[in-house]
Amino acid sequence: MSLTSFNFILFVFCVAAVYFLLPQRVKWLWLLAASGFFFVTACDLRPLAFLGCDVLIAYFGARAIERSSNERGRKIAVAITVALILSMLFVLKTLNGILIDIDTASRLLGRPFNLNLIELAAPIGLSYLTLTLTGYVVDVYREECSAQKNPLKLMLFACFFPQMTAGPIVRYSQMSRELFVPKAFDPNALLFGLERMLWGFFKKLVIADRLAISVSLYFSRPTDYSGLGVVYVILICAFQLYADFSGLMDIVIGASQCMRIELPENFDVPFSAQTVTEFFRRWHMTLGLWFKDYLLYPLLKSNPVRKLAKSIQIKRGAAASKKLPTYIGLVVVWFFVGLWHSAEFVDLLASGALPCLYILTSELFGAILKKATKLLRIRTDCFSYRLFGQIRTFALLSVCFFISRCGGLSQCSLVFRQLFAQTSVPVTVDGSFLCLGLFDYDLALVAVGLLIMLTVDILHFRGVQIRVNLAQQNLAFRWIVLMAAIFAVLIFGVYGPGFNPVDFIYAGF
Amino acid sequence: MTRDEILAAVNEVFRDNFCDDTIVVDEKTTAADVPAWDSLEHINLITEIEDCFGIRFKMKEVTGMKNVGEMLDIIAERTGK
Repeated sequence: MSLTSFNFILFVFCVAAVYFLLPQRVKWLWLLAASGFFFVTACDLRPLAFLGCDVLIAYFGARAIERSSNERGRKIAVAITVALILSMLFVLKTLNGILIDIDTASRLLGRPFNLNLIELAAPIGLSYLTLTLTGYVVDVYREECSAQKNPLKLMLFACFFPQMTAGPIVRYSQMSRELFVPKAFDPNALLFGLERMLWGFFKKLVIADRLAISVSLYFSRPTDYSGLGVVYVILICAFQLYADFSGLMDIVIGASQCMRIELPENFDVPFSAQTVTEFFRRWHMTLGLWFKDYLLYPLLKSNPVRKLAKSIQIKRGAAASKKLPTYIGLVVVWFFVGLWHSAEFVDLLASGALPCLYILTSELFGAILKKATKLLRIRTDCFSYRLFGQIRTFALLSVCFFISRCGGLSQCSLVFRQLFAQTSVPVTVDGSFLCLGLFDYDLALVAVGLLIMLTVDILHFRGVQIRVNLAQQNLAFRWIVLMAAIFAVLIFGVYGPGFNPVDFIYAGF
Repeated sequence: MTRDEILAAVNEVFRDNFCDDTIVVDEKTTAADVPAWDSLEHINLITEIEDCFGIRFKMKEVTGMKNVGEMLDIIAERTGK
């Protein structure tokens, strides 16, 4: 069942209706049944065994941690449990990436290994499930929550249907309040949820799927485009990814809101960021928080890193002793962020190495840049400087997004060679490189769609709550706006017979 | 150590950590009030405070403390005052 299909809207509506009709004590069982149904319709039954296995490991592991009478026993239990959960991800997903890397390297060296990939069907959203369950087990170890005594309730926490395919990555202490505390029906919450879903459909069907046509066409014939044409694709790749991923989150969060279940936000106007560090505080926020709380902080607080800091302090002084361990921590975290996306070279580069390089460069040269701006009397507290920061950040991150779409090292090197190849003058002058499989009508729709999306983002950035403001208007006006939005998606959305719906880029990780 | 003495020592750590002698924190100060206090500086600050008072924060305290007041509560509890 696709999240953008009419069946999914109907499914959410039915699940929400029955959820509010059922007695309080069985509401969670209904959500579990609905999640099971969604899982089975999203992929076949075989991966269900892996999913069940992961949940059972977390269940028994957390119980063992809680029952251990001493710290040593608790440490052993958490280490074994986390290792088992992570090994499942490694075998089912990461290992194939490593095999592809070895194969690519052997071909480049002229001695191809021709390795066979492991053919095991991983459950959809295994990467999200792994982080969710690892976080739960560590939280039990840190005594931030109690171990769940009912394995079925833990299963619901791990596989709640709206968020199981693409996050947001949730925490047990927060979700147990949302899933297991009974909620009464609230028509406003239902309307807010549906409005949020509608906004997600607009981003996905009107903007992202239209841009996907251009992006797919480009990557099917990358040698046909050069210079400005490639720059244009780099830009639209970023907009497509944002419209696609944030649209997916709007649908997921909106579907949950229909049942008055609040999921954490994953985006906070990322293109308003003036630095790469700020960008990643606003983009895929739950992933960043997860890596900060469960990897970066424990690493920087660990005894070996503290000992290293002490020895650096003696040799290099206090400033270096503070900075160097932080840089090491950042490199480790970004390596694992890249690995979480995929172990293939291109993904490690685009999702791990390059963002890490950007952040380290800004950390290393930040002070010099500050002095230079002071020396050159450049004002940093004005709109033009903030805009410069936003454009610079957007450009840097667009390159990462573009590389992640290249699909392989050879394709990646080819498109970057094309980037610096000579652009044909007529194509540049008449703007025909903008078409890329789209008619003028589609191009205009994309432009208007992007304008609406970015305007809404600016309003959010300024603290305007659009849905709350809309709810305060007269009924007639609200319905006119809602109907206009529904018809805009129905008329201008890319879907229907003859169209192959594009999967969400981040779904099923 | 009294609470005021702990606060004075914490202020010293803040000034030292952020290399800014003008910083003055109180019970209600949050990360939003100190421009350089981001997620990376937070863990450096925690480490400095641990070294200063000879205590260790639990990880749930590191990620859960809402303001300097909560930090003082933990320090006061660990140092036995």
